[in-house]
Amino acid sequence: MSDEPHIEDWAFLPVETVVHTPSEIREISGPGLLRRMALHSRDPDDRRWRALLTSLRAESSGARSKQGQAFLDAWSAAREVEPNLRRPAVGWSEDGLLQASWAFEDLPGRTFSLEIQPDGKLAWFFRDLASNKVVGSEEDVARLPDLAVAELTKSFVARRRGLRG
Amino acid sequence: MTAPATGTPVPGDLELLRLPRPPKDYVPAGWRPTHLEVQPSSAEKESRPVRVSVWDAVLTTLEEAKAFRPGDFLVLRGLAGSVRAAGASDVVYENLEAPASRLPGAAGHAGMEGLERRPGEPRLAWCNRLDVVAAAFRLQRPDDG
Repeated sequence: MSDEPHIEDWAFLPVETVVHTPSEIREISGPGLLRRMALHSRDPDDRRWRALLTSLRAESSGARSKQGQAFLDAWSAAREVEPNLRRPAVGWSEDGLLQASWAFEDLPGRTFSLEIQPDGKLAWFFRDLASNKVVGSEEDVARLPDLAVAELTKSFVARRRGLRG
Repeated sequence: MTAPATGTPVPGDLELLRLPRPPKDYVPAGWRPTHLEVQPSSAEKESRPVRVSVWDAVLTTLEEAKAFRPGDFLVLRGLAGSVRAAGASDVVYENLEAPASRLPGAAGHAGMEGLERRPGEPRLAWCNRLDVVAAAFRLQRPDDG
């Protein structure tokens, strides 16, 4: 996969983050423009998220390649269903698992998590206290199943700008 | 300060510090901890009883706790009583061994018990149980002071 930014990554950059003059814009185009836009984003949260996606794509050639790709695949599948899906917390565990979790103070009792193994297989968990629902995988699975995508995308939709992915 | 003996319950009204590591690569606004942040580490699973590391925030300041764990980590805070009420079987002091025991703040080291996956316990039940415990903690943000 190319290291260049993908257009969908930047689709939600606020308009005001584009701060180039006409002469600067003439100097760059295509992916270069997108990369420059990311670097110039005024929103630190946007910059951190873009940096994370870039780092996961960079893993596509490293030891963690299958994990990074599995997360990007899951993220893309969910974003295809719900473009306003909120961003998860993402990080690596001490045991080398790639973990992602959707859990927010304004949604108490509702959690969705992913744990991705080095071989790219993943385990998922969803809990919603309000509906008394707990679902997920007891064993690692090759890809995020449709049920998981459905629970994730209907449960963590951004309702205002700045929370979406 | 003399450390409370290992196994002594941490009073319920005391605040706990939990410093899971490594830190997240990305944390969105308004995020809160989940079952992932209170799972025992590989090293903690090896000890008996299994105790997930926390610190009594009265006996150990955040700066002192940081000194025991070089590197970056999240900072979570929650009341010992709330952690018990959420499902941890207990929260007890756990004395550190030398030389760590001689460092400032060592007296406040404690552990949450009952968070390991029980034999035969389904994964979802375990995640659910720990997610309830995690709800007793909140993330300290840099501007929280």
